[in-house]
Amino acid sequence: MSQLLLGYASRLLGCQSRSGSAATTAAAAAILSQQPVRHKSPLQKVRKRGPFPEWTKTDPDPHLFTRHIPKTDERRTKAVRPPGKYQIFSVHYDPIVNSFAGHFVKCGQRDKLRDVFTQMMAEIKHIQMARRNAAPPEEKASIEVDPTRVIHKAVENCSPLLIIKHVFRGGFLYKVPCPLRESESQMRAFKFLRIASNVRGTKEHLYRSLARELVNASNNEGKAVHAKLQLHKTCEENRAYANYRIT
Amino acid sequence: LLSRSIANWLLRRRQLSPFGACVNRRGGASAALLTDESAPERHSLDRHVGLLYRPEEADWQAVTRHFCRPELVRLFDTLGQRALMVRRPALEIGERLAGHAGDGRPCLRFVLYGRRGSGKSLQMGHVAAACRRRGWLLVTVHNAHLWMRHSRELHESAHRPGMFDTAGYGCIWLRHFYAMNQEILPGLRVTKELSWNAKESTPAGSSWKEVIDYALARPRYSCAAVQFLIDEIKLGSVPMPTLVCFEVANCLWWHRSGIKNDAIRRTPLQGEEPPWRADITAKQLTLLDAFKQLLDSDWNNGAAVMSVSPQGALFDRLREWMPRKLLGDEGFAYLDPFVPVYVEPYGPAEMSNMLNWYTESGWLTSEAAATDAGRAELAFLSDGNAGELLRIAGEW
Repeated sequence: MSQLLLGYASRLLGCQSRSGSAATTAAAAAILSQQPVRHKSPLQKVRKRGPFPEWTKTDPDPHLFTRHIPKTDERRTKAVRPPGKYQIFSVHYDPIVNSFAGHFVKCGQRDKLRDVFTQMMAEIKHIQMARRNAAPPEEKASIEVDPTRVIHKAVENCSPLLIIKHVFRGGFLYKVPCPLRESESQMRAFKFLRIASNVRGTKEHLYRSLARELVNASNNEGKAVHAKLQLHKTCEENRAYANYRIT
Repeated sequence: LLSRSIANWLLRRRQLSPFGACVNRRGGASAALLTDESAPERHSLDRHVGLLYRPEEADWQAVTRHFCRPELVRLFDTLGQRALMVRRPALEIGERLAGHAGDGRPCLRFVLYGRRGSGKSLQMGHVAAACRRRGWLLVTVHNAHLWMRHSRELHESAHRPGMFDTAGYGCIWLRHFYAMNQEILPGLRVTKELSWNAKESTPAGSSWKEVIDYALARPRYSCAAVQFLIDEIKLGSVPMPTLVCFEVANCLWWHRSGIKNDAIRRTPLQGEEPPWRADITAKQLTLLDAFKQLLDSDWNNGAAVMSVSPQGALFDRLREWMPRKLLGDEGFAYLDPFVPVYVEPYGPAEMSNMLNWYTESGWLTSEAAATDAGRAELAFLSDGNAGELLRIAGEW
């Protein structure tokens, strides 16, 4: 368990510049340095998934013949995780944008969402290009126009380092700051962005509000980043209970 | 042995993109091919097909802008530059129209057809801009199918009993018509006396501008004004040739619409309680009927260019794109004989040029868009469709 903690701490210290404030990461590291108290049964089984490597381009392409690959080649017997359902082998594929899209899917209508995302990325370009045209020459180069990079930056800025988990102990419910896995942190970022872009009624299309929110988040402004900072603040306030963590 | 050689051949082919044939030129993006000729009537089939041209400001604001999708207009505003492609259908129509007018020949009718997004409206825009520069009168209708879907103000028509006026749309169209033909309109005179009602009338010999101003001040008579002006055109009182551009002409023969009308009385069905309402058909709207008269071939000194599009199709014909299917029996019989003009998807040279321009102007921001594989993928995903390419390029 200390290995896990060390891992989290090193990740925190390694990405200090990620979310703007060195004080936050230092506070997070201080919170995590407190040892957790274990309440789970020692007999509880922990199920683990195998550390299968990801599928890479050098592995056999399932759509082509494999008869040219010799039988003794390790590619024939190497264990790889199959590619994801929506993983496209295209020069334009981006895993973060793909996961972000999956987060918004309702009732399995992912193809409908694809149109929304196409419009949303065009909208990001319009917003940023208008801003770049209006900016003075010395600021023009710093404005990012590519929508994929804007989304990366926004997700990075909205990813929390710690999260509050509720622990019921001795008749009281405590809010305990806990570390996050990378994937969970990314999911929290997506959720902040989705809730921040939610506009009640039919006033605005999703692609417009989402584009605006992403551009704001990439500049460390807006509701989504504010939500993340609120979460960090709550973690800081409850740092005394960090040892109630169940990991 | 044979299977291994096939497999090797496939392996070698795999190095090339399978869709590379859709795009010209290996080696990534290169400079877009632009022509300096910004006057549409001087574009010729030998020299300018497949090149991009920059429309002049006056042409753009008066004419071409109305034929473009709002997304395209916004793209040009954002990029700060405009470039449209010179393509074969518009030049072929332009060639026919150049020698057509003034011979006493009846109205020549062209019907542009093609898949949704293939570029029919922009081809019409090219023809319209060319004719405007030659001094023709332009009568253009862009939103007829929207008039049928959304209409709040509907009045029973006084000048055509039994039909309905859409006063708001009439006013909007008159303003648009005036803005498009500002240079020509001061010289045009009305040859008949126009009576608006029992008490008011405009005398013969008054200018068209007076008629339009009267209708804008009294919106109730805007559709009547449109009808009177169209009667003037059909009489032949206009000295210059007239070009009629009608986008999505298949909506003129709709048997249903988005508008219900309580004024229509029909025998109630068994057990039906009043009020029973029916859809308004296109035949019952005076504005649409007025423009439909212009698409007939019983007048001289002019031409009509129409497009039929699945965008203007009712729910039962959403997948069709051929004229016979979209127009139906009645529409086809009305328009027959016409010259069908197919607006085809982009060929490899046109696609390559369009991608080069998007890259050069900075709209394609992804690094992948400049590579061979990326360009081939864009060509494949859009399948040569101009509108699809515009939409997909927003993502890259």
